[in-house]
Amino acid sequence: MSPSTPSALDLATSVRSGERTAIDIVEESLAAIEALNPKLRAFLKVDGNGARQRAEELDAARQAGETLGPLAGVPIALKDNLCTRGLETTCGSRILEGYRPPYDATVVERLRGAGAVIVGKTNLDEFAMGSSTENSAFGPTSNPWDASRVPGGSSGGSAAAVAAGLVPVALGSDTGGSIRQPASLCGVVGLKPSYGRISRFGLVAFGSSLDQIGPLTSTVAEAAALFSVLAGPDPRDGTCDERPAPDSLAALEKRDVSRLRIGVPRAAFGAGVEASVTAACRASLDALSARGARLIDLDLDWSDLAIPTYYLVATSEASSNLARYDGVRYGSRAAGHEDLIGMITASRGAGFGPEVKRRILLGTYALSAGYYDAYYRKATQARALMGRQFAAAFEQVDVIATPTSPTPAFPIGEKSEDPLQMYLCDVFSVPANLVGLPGLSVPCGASADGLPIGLQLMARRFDETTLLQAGACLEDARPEPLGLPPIHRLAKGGAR
Amino acid sequence: MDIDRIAELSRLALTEAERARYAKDLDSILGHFERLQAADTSDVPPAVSAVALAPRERDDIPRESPPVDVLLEGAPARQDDLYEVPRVIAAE
Amino acid sequence: MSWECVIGLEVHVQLRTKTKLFCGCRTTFGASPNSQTCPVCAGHPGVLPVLNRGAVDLALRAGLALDCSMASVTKFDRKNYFYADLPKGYQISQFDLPINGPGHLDIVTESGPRRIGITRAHLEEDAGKLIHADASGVSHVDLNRAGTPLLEIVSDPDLRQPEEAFAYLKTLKQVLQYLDVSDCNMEEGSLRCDANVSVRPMGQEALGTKTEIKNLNSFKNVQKALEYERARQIEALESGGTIRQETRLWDDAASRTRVMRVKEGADDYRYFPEPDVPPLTIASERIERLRADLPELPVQVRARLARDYSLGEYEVEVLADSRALVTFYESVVSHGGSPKEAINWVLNDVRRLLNEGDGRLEELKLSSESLAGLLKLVASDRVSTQAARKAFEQMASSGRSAEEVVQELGLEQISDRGALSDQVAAVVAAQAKIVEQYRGGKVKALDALMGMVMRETRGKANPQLVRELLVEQLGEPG
Repeated sequence: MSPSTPSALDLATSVRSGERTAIDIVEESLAAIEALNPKLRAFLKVDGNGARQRAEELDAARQAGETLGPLAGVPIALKDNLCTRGLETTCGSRILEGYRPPYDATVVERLRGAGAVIVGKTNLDEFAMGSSTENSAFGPTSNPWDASRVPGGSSGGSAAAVAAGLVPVALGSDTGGSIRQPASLCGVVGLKPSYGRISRFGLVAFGSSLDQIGPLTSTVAEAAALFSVLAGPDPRDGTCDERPAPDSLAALEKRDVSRLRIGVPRAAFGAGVEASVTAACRASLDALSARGARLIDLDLDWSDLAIPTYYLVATSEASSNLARYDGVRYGSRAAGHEDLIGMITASRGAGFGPEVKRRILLGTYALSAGYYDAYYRKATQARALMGRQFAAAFEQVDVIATPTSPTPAFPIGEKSEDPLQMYLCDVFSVPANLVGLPGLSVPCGASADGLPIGLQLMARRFDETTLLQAGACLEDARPEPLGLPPIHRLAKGGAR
Repeated sequence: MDIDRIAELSRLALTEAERARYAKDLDSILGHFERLQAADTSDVPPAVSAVALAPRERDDIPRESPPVDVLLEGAPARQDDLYEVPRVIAAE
Repeated sequence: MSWECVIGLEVHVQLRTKTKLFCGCRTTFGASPNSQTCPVCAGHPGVLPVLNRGAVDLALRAGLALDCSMASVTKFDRKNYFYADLPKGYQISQFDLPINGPGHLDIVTESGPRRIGITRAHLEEDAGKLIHADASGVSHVDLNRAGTPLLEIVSDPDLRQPEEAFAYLKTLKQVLQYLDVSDCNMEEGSLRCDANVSVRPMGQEALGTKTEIKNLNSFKNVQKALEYERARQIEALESGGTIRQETRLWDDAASRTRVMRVKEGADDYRYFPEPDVPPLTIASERIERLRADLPELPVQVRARLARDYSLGEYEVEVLADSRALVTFYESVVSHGGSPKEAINWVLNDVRRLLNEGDGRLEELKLSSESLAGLLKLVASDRVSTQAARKAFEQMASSGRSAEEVVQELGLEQISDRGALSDQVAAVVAAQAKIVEQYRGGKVKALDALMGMVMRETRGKANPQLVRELLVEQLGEPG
């Protein structure tokens, strides 16, 4: 992609009209990846041949007079926990090294159906467990704004790829903020839809009651377009809602900032939030207010409940979801064991990284006899309690705004030795998952040293339309666009 | 916490150093989580999911299974069309 | 001291669905290894379970027949444990909100009728099959069975005698077969049974320590194992010992139970609600529709057989043992077979065919309609009972109709009075000596003459008629 990254929507329009060819666009993307990925390590796997073949098919189809889909010729990157038939899917884990899924995720089918071209699989914290992408078995990804810093996580590879312009759009997954937080730290838009909006079939499970797939894009409009392609019922996912996908892109035209009631929890700008983050978020809210939005203070305070509740629910589910990696049917098996249990135990011990092991242990403990009531069950009650609190808040407001992350991107290695400190950073993002709400992170400013800052918006369940409208209003109102990350300057000087 | 017991239930082979480290990490994490106990949830039924989901059922109509090789080609060990595993040695 | 035995049974039956509980793979028995598996039932990353409506309906149908209370909301839970035949590392089962709550089953024992409580009957998925190590020290896994829907029916500890356990199993199997919810075939594993057993001094309220017995592969073995275990426990307690809570395996060859090697650590299955399968609301209309569709149960069928066909108690009991046989019998009658004749043929000849074959009526070439045809030929004297037996064998092996077989084998008997009369007259004329003896008072001579007529007609003459004609032509003896 060129530094003046055109939006996915413009690309698709140009391909559909014949102004550009899909293969031309894909070659640009592949060239950008080749130039920048060695430095960023955003991609774990680039499928150049598959992408070129698909692009040529699209061009041929257009030549033959076929009408192409809404994402015609748009290169897209997929987080490597989305199953792609025959294309290695590792979840950033040694235990799945070499695993080639026998099927495509529903979202992969839908993207292909819409004309998108999958160029590769992006890095992530192992099994999506982390907030920095440092927990990948295949090494960390760098933040395009500062290569010594993390891109956030767990969808750090997808966020970095979009921020650096390697692809216009990417998919991530969000269990407790894994789309929104890296979007915030990389200066892109990240949408986590309502639970049940997008089929999870083919998304490797972490916390089944929390996981959602969503887009990472440069603009809210692109996020809306991808959302409409991805959402809707799927007979292969029993938790996927029956409602058809709304036309969120068209709905953006009808946005009206003066009718927007934005709830601002007092606790969201309290202790633990870095001053630069508070300042950027406040400034963008003031800008919205200046354009007519109503800001309403909320007493909603989840700071004590959210992290314990989230980590108990997520790790309990994960401890069970990750039990299938036993070295029996696929993935890696530890050699030299003559008994089954020894083989399973050794394969898991060698195949999982430290954070995954930590969470499996925590979840196993929370579900174990004698502790279930105090931990898992109590957490599910607290989860219900939070649902009530949010329902009450949404009687007064249309969206709720908080920082996406309490800090901008932090240096690689800074928090990796202190898991609890890392967990506490998720305080703003986990409620949307616990309550099933849609959440959106939109770039709203930068720190003094030029690191992006995102504002998070949440809306009622299944009201992505209002959420995206509010996000577009924020884009209209925010002080100034962020510009391009410095990685491009590096690339321009360094490559080719 | 009994880290050995939890590791065994989790079927995770851990070194002594790992055991010590995870025991310490989990102690600190669970210590922080104690604040959850203060929440008054006496009248709150547990929520498995935050949202009430409409149940989905599938009609009892067969779908063709993929050819055996599609699933077995990635197996760490196989014999013909069976997965091969080390034998089960029951502990005394 | 006298002892009382307390028995509870856990019966797993495979529900007769076309597909698995959470995916569309078939459940056909005996398919080649792993040919009925897919990413879902093989536990691949990223897959999700979607509940089979047919399995839910069958489970509810069984619950209705067992008078179970039905929850308006039922949910699924994960039972977590590791084993090579359990692809996901957990089994989707039901923990605290089973689809069928308390109910009961009425059984008849030697001491009279008894009502046995059903604790619950819940849905769960089956595991695959681990084929144990050969000499080379490796085991193999076939996942065809993984994900097959099971109904686990748990009885209250209401059974007091091993014979009662036998009667309970027999009755339960019969009910489930009548409902057509399961094949209940123990050899193919579509019915499996574990037993919990304890003993206590007669009159004592508190239950003794129980043991669980597994590996019970026939109802007879359930009874034998319980008898063994009852005796073992009583002996242990009477000699001052105690009972250890443990799982024991029935060793058929040695006719004894033995301790199953204890798994390392106590089990901790860490049940928790299955987040991928939302709680299922069972609408009352659904239950009412299933109730309306409920077929006749054995108790009702027995009463009807006795009433409508005037069958005896033994005949009813034997016939009603198989719902399919009842259907066959009633079809024979509805096609014109006489109830009295039909029951003899069905209980003797048809059952013999079943025993010779694989026991499935649908595999027989003989149709109820053709059997009825044969009975009609007998009733109208066109075929003798003896010839009918010959015809039956031919019909059973060829699948052709009674009429065709009788024609082909020339089995039709001669009942034409005029034609037979000539034959009789010819014999009487030719056998003056024997006729003499008969007239002289030797009644037995008539049989000899009859035999000759039969020979002349190559066995086709209606014997009744021949006798009549002989007496007519010879006059009274003496």
